[in-house]
Amino acid sequence: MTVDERARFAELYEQNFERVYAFVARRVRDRAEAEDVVSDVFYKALKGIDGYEERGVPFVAWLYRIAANVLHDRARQSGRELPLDDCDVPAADDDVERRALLFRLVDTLPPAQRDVIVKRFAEQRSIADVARQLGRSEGAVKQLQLRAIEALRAQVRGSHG
Amino acid sequence: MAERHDVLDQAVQAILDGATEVAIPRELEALVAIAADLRDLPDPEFKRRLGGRMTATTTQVREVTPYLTAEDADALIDFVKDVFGAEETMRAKGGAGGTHCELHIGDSKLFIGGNIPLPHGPNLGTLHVFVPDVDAAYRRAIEAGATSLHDLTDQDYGSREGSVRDRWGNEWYIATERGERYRPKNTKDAMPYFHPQGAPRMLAFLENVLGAEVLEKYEHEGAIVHAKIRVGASVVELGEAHGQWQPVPMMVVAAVDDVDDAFARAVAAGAKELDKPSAQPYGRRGAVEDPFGNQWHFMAEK
Repeated sequence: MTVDERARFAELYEQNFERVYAFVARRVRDRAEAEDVVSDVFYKALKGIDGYEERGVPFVAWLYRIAANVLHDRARQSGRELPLDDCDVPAADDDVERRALLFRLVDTLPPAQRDVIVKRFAEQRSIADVARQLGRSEGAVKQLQLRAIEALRAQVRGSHG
Repeated sequence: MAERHDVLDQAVQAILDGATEVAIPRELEALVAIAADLRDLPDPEFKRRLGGRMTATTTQVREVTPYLTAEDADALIDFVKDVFGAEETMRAKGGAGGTHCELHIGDSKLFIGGNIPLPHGPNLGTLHVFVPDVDAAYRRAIEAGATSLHDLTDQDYGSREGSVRDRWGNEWYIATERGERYRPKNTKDAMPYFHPQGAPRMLAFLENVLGAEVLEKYEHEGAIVHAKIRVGASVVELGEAHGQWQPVPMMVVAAVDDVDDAFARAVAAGAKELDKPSAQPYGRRGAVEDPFGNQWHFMAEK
């Protein structure tokens, strides 16, 4: 892989990480498994990037196809049945796209709100724990959480007209 | 009356606790829906680490695959299929009449070759395999002629595992994770397990030559007892040789983007040249022996 190709892959990763994560997260049992699957998807994408460029389909659709295959293989290997539609590739405008947008919007929140949302949801910490880490009262953390979710709600609604 | 932020937080906590039905006042419904979606918010640290791995070191190595050989390779292939449910994806005869076979054990690749005289002896391996039904796999291994090294045991760290030596001399650690998933985080279905003398030096070799990254490492009195290491899309394991777990040098095929670069790095890190990089019908290839006796065959497909 040349330096240019590597930079291009980094850009594609940045653009599509949340979409792949949103697609995978609802189809696995827990966060650890979601991270395992998302890692596998991007490694397979990196390995097959030459093949993708030749086919000319949208990159994200190709990633969803890889993700569906990874999920299917894992379910088969562990003897689990996946509902059929869990292996389907989503349409571009469905629920996955909406959640991916929400995940990206978290990054645009004011830092104090963003910290609360990341610690509360991504790290799954209790209010008491977040308050201790951020040196704020529990009431203040709950206020930041409320304002952050209100801001996200407004932005999601705005982006959907 | 409870404050709005308290009511919302009670709903958030219920969502994080996995509740499917959450009682909420009508005016907060839209916010709780956002919170429900945020439950799957990816950890930014995970995104950063994965992105770093994708774009820095791992572009050099795509995956590593252990290569076992036997004079009666067909029988070894049958053993792996019967015991672990391996799927054969390719079997071909080479110019000298030898067999090359590619298999998958779950999500992991394994190559087996041979069916010709092997004057220098076979390439053996040690593999750690996770299966959904460890009791059945272990029983099948014994029935297929393997000898037990350790009977199946429930370990404190959550695995039920045992180990066998097949009749060719390969060692198999057969395990399942107790609980909902049959294998723990940071593992693949089948992983080569190295027991070098000087595990930290071998780890440094893997990092320098193959861009390896430590996923988990457990040490005791300065020695690496067990480490899980990502190499490209693969995971290998490593632990300092001790007791009955002595080095079994392996032959490993590393699919790389740049054979010449990987070869040069390996030699610079103390490996012995076996075959200088050259063009082959299937792509470019070069091979080295690392300071621990393992053979690394670097391959780049055409």
